[in-house]
Amino acid sequence: MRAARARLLLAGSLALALAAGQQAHAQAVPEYAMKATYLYNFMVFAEWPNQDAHGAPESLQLCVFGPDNFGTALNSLEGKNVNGRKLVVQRASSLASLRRCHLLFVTEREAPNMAAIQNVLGEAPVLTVADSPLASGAAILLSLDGRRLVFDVNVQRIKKAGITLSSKVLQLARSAS
Amino acid sequence: MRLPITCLLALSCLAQARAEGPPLDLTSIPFEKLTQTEVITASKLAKQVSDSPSAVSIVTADDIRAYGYRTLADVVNGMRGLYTTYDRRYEYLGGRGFGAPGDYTGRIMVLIDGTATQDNIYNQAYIDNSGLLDLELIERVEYVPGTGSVSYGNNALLGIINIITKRGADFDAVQLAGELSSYGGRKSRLTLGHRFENGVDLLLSASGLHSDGQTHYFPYFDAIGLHGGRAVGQDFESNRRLFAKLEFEGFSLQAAHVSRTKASPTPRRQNAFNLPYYLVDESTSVSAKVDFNIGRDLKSVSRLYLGRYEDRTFRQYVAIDPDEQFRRNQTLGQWWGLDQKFALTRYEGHTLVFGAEYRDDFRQRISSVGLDDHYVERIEYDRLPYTNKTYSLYATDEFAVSKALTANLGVRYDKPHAVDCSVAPCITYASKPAFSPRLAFTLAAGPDTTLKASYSRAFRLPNPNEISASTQSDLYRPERVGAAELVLEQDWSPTLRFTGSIYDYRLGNQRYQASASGAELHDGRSRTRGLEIQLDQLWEGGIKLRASAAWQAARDPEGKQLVNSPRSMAKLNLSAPLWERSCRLGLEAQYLGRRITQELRDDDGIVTREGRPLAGAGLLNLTLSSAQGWRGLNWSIGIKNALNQRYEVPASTVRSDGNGAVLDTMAMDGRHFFVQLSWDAWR
Repeated sequence: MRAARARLLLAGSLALALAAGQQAHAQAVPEYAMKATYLYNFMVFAEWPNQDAHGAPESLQLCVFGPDNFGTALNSLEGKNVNGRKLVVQRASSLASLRRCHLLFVTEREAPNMAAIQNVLGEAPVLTVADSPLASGAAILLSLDGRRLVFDVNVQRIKKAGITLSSKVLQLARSAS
Repeated sequence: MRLPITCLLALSCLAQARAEGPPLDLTSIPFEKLTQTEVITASKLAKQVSDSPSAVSIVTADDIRAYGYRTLADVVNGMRGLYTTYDRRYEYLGGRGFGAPGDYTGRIMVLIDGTATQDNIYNQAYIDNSGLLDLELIERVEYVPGTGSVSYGNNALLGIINIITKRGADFDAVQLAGELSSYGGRKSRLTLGHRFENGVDLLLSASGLHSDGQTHYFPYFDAIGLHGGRAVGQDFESNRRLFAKLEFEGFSLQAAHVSRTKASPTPRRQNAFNLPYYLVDESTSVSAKVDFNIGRDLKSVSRLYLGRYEDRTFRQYVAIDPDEQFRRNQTLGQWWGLDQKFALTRYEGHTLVFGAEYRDDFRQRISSVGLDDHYVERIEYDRLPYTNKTYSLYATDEFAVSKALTANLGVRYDKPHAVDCSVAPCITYASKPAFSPRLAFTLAAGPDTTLKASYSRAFRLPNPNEISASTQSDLYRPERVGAAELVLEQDWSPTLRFTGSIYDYRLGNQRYQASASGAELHDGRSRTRGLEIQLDQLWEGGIKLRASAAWQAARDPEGKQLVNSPRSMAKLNLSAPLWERSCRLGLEAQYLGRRITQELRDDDGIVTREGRPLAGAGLLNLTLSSAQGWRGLNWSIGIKNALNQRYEVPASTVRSDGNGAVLDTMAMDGRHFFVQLSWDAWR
């Protein structure tokens, strides 16, 4: 008797779940699609000095250093117009090429080499972003907080690179120091 | 009846899959709104959090869901080289040459967010429904094989299970959950988790379960003419759990409580078969932690903890006397401690961690009473008071020897003062200081290759339960182990990792009973060697594989193969998303090799029959669960032992009647099921 009632309850709940599922609009976004969009937004709200130093002035270089988990998530950013300039996505293969980037995303696997990367970059106007606590020297550090993607901004680092980040980004940051 | 439910689940998967519209252009969404949008975390090969220089096994919250884990014992069984043994009273943990059935899980330490949870009477780490946590509250479990005395002192002899709990922000909801399972099992849980605007993170949870259990048939009790060998109504289980955690900046306060009653189908005394024998355990753990930076390169972590354990086991006698119809334990353990730790990074290339701990086991009372048939207390059998105070100092330094080589040197000093006042005058049974050193090297042999080598020593004090049988508790000595281990970690790609380890453990001062004379000896020495390998692979589309194998050669102090220690073990865990990622299927296969049962002994303790080999067993578990993003509704359904393997494990207590009837194994469950449903109300 009890078992029968339990089954009835279960069937009812599942029917409810079914109904909810049909209405539900997929709200949550895959982690790396979200990370890619954050990178895009950082570029929208940043200003780089001395634009000629980066080669073609009409383009903005988004570089990824190290094996990454973006899959196809960065493809949709390619060619997007960012403040009148064309966004170019590059998978960087050598340390030497990093100075040409506007935004450099250091993947989890290259994070332990952050010190070496900083050495190469020096005070070049490159906005470094990482998603591993091992890359603590990055200007912006992405991390998951519960079910949300948050970021911490290292203001000193950004100043050193001569980049201006909009106050809007700083307000949205979990911490800015 | 089960088929329609499965169909319904599959249907709901499909419905969900179809509901997903075309991909939207995320760049068109304002940044403010994006930061408020939830993300579906990508699965990746988990990285260990602890700094241990050994091959750590990690099980994440996602794995717990994907493989339908419902107790810590399930988690442990999925890990490389580990297994549990159930005697229908407790789950006992085994691996790396330890794990005699009935041997409380004391040689392994279970830490919840850094606080040790085993009691101070039996030193048992509770990994079944008598454990403190619901698995839904766990963020990840790390098993650190090898000794941990350098960090945790007494008891961290053969490994550490490190549990990290979730935070309120991980739920961000009021969650209602229910579960139905085979043998009349039902569980309900209410969890509230939230991170407030001001940064306060709160998690509150309460749960309760009940299972009717089964009627078990024991040929042995049938043979000796007791109730046809059938234990009726002697397998039920129920528990209640409470958990609370509050975090704000560097401060954290946590409390956990559990009480569990489990009926045992096998009696304590042979002739009490099929009479009530209920194991009642109650544990409470409270801890407060303050974490702050003293300076730029000096960090302080202070932790205050309190623990309480009560054993109120109840059993019925076969009537002796009107005043002694029942017996109830009134065993109580209470303790508190304070740990002050500093981490110093002032010196280039060095991370220095040092600190001091004081622990006071101010109550370790073993007591039981006789009750009459109105449950009125008539007789107090014994009241054995023990205490122990331990002062500890520790320091470890991790430093770069060269660009590729890192060394980790550490030592811990523990000074116990353990007193047995069950005799007059009191005996101080443990007061000698113990040094637990660790020497470890990590070599980054290439960008994807890491080699780790370590040697460490650890100890374990005799516990009140062990010494309570003797009036000469000073005969007992702290058990010792010296452990050497070599680990290779090779990342063949970001999604394919190989882990291999070989180890050699030498144990000393083990207590054992000599086979030939039956005498209790305290100077046993034994050795365990083994090899473990593991492969972790992740494929495009979220398919995950973990496969492991372990071989161990474990001897007892007399040089015989250790009881209940399989020579080989293999595990396979595979999970894959189904129906456009709306559901996930988890498949778990486990093989436990041949192992031997306990030997039979006569009344003088002399061995009359050696342990006999038990055939190996293979198990298959299947779980289907809804994926994230289900508008607050989630479900999962699981089949355990899907192939309905009939298998036995060595029994914790062996019995024989002299006419050939022997009870030395316990039959385990065949195919069984569970269904879980949870709903996030108020999001």
